[in-house]
Amino acid sequence: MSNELLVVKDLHTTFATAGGELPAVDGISFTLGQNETLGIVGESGSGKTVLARTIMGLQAIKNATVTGSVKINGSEVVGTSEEDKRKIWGTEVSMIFQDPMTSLNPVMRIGKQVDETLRILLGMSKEDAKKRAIELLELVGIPSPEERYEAFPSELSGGMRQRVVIATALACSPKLVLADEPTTGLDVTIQAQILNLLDELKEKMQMSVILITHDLGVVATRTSRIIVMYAGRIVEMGSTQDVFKDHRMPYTRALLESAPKVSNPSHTRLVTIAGRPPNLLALEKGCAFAPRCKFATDKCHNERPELQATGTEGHMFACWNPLTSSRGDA
Amino acid sequence: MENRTPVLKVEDLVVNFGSGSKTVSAVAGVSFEVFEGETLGIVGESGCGKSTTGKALMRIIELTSGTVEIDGVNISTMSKKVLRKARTSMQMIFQDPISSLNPRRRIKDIVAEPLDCWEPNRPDRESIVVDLLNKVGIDPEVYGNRYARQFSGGQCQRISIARSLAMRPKILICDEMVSALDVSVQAQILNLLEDLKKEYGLTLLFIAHDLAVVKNVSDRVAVMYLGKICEIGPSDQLYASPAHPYTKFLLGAALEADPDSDKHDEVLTGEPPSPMNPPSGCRFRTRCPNATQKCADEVPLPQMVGEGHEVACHYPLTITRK
Repeated sequence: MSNELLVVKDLHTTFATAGGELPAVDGISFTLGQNETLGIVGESGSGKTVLARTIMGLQAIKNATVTGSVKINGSEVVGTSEEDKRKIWGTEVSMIFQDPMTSLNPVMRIGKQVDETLRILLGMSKEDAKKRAIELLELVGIPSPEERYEAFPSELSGGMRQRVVIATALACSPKLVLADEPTTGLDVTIQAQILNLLDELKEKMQMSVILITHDLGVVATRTSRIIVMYAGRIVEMGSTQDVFKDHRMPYTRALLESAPKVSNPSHTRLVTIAGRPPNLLALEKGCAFAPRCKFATDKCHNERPELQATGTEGHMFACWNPLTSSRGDA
Repeated sequence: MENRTPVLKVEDLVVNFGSGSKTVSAVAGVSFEVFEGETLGIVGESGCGKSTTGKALMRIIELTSGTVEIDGVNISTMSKKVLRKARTSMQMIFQDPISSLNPRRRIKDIVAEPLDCWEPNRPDRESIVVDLLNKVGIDPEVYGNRYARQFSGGQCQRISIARSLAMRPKILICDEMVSALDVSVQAQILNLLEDLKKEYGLTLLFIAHDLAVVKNVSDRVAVMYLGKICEIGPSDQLYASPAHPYTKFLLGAALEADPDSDKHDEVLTGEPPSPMNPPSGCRFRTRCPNATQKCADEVPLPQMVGEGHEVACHYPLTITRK
């Protein structure tokens, strides 16, 4: 297990709010190997974005308490000073945010935003940084990069801006990239372009990618492993095949079934999950999904299930009444 | 299908914004009919003019030219005053569930507002509101006196639906009504819409960018690109066998939540051109792998390729009949 790039252990991120302690990330542990793509899926409020920001060490808000451990390539992130975090940002880990409209500085030419990273983090000279920035813009598929180097974000479309964000994130060849909903808000044909680009760059630059999304279609064919989150916890994780085809947690199944599919005939009745995602300030002491789960028993409402192994390597779920294996081997 | 009369008939609808050299051609000659009890889906990427089309039908955005007929009555030339009354038979549900409800009013009053406006002093006002809220799954006893901010996005969308049904409209225009919702909530709202459509005998125009959602609710689907309909046909037929190259690319880009699906091979390159300076001839030709000189010279007219299946392309793909 020495080639683990990212080791997350018992991570908690809690916000002190007017309504009480809000456990946004509630005891999460997982590891990520070199050159691996991991998908993290969940609905809004499941804690996936807070998890990514905590891994990055961006949870500096005063009312947030972080406990546990995040090790990126051996360096601890939790409890580290801003200064030390800056040493790993960009070179070890970087992040692609959801909204390409707001993650770029609107009054700064895009080329400058790419070479800023190069000059500050790698200490490149102005000329070298500009040369490299143009190469990077070309690498992410921006046409006529020399001209576009001088453009402002407002002169580019959403898809092009996301390419610039990707160029900035990858400028210093990080080993781990956290992509938080990188294609949400983009059109489907542009989404396909961006996801293909990320795949290509991952191979080319030998990085590991964590793809965070609410859209199961995005992770289905582009990840090797998937984590399903609900109410700040991991409810199921395993290989992409296992999670899609042999899930044990009723929530995973419900999530998969409630999305309409292009391959189904029109007017197919959708399977729904009753109720809505839980209020994290008023969680039951048992399983957070129990109030919406059709298999819930008294035990589910009173005792919190921990992750348990299925027998298939790396496949775990947290449920007292798991679905029977579709492969019939459990 | 031929002898049915359309509830909604749109002919050569054009919407331009601005004027002179800065004219944005948002909708460039769109024609379609929607029959009673039917759901027509309009799908396309951002900037294709689908929302503008929806708004122009209600004349929230004024049309530049063309006609819109509801039940044979032309609303495109009506005076504002007459139009207001005519609009009661056509209601719209918007994308953002929270901002489309007045934050300062109780939801039972929001739902009653159309009645207060058109049929004030109805003795059965309360019972209509109670009935509508029950229909959309909001308990009027418990929640009737609350404000929009006290509800989740999905619940707000339920309240919007209740309000839109207050005047018993014939036509409901849904503009990206589920795109801000989580999948589990989205499924609830789509099922609710199907149930209410049957119960109230509604005719729906369902505008969205999500191909799977549109297919799920629609009997027929129109695909728009840069202000024009490039293909229209029965949902199952159109999805199984698209005749327009753009439709094919669009469907190819739709991601299936299945790890065994394998369709990233053909990805559409480039981005849609600016509607301020649309390409001559076929508007898709700049990105189309099959484009020829003819596509640049001649605007393709809609042609029949199957029953109720029309495509605006000089070189339609061969379709396989279902």
